[in-house]
Amino acid sequence: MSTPVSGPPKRLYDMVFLVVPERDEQAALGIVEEFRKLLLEHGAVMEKDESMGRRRLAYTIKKRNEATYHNFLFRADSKAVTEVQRRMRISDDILRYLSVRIDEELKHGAKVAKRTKVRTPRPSAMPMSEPEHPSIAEPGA
Amino acid sequence: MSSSPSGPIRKPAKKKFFVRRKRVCKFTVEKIGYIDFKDTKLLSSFVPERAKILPRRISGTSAFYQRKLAVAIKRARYLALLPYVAD
Repeated sequence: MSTPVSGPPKRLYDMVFLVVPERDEQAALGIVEEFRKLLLEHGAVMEKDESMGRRRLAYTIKKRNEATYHNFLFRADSKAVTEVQRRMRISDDILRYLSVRIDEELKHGAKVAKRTKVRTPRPSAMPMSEPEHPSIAEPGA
Repeated sequence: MSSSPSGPIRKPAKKKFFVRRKRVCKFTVEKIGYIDFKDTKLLSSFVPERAKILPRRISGTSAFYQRKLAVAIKRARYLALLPYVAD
């Protein structure tokens, strides 16, 4: 099923990756540029492109305790993402990467947020009226 | 089992009574549709000291958002934005 895509790609991806701390921020920019170019070559349309700066890691990854984070938000086809992921896997400069397709999550979330009504708590509600474990009451009794 | 004589005199506990704060789902109230895994500030308020995901019986998050929240926290953990275990 390879339908020729006309118009901009529809899938919205949120991608975060970690550049190894051995590269300073200036060198990290170069690595980021490399992947940005790769994405654009594959027909991606950038929606957000920002550095999240150098951060301490919550836990040690490959003996590193910090890394430079970068975030891409873009529309592209799955092929572009697969290729970028492949390159990142090979690259020694990328400590970790994560790409998530979020268009449908956003759409569904917006729908639910619109639909849900906020219930104001009843003022007369007893503070102790909620049993913690109602299901534990002996069933055979 | 006896009360300590040196401490402040406590009233005899007649009734088990404590005020339970009415919990509301933060995401429902603020109409947040999508929980961003990069939003460490928001997520860390649902990850207490021991690094476990706060159960919804305590936070009051609705079932729908608790599921979304869990996924977001797990994504953030993978990127080392949040810890898997407390150190």
